[in-house]
Amino acid sequence: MSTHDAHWHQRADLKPDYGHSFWWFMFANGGAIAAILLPVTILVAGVLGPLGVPNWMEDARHFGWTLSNPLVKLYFAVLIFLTFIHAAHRIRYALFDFGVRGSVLVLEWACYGLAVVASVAAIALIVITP
Amino acid sequence: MTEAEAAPAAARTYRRQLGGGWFVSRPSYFLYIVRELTVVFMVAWLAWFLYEVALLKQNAFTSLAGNYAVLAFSAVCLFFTLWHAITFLNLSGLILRVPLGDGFAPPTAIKVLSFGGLVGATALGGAVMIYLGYVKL
Repeated sequence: MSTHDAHWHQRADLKPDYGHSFWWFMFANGGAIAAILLPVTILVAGVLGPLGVPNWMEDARHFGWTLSNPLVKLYFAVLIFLTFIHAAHRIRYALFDFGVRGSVLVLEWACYGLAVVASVAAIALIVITP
Repeated sequence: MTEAEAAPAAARTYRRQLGGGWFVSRPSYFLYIVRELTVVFMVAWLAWFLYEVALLKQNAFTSLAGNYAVLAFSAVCLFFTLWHAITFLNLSGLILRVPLGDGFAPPTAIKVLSFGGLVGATALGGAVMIYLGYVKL
């Protein structure tokens, strides 16, 4: 008799943890988006701008005009949401590395919850501005 | 039957307790923790950006030209954001498994594409963001 269980993938104890995989999925996508898009955003607005290079945050008129574009709003909504989720995941595991190992559920709700609430507030601000 | 045979003792394991400063015991541990904390600077810069958006909403935004406090803050944030970008994209060839024929795309090709995306987005995005500053309104 074969010991191979043809229905091993239906065993309840082997089912994937969808919540765990969801946050790792968001972490990976957030990390990639932040790695590719955030450097140029900081470089132009935060470094070249103060050095006197004209850019989209040159003054209130250019800033408001650019931010009124729906594609720009979408760009920042995606960038901010995914970066915040990525950061929440990193901080959640960094706290574990620093010895915070009790109340895992509370820690997860605090990190991911704060990231989601902050993202919603940030996106709302971007949508209503200027 | 002896007592030992009836109930064998549980396997003795040893878990080394890590002190609070374990991450300074080796340079590689320290670099690992720095990589984990790069997100603090990324989030800090985005929070500052949202503050500027709020100022714009209140008609209180002023030009950043010549603002060296913003320059210094952004330079530090950019340094750690690039740290994140390089360490994150450097792992792309190891993590991303792209099916290609009977096997997978070579890891080096995936890594080149990832860093190409960073360079391309920086060049194209930078050009667009600077061009917008020259638009006559």
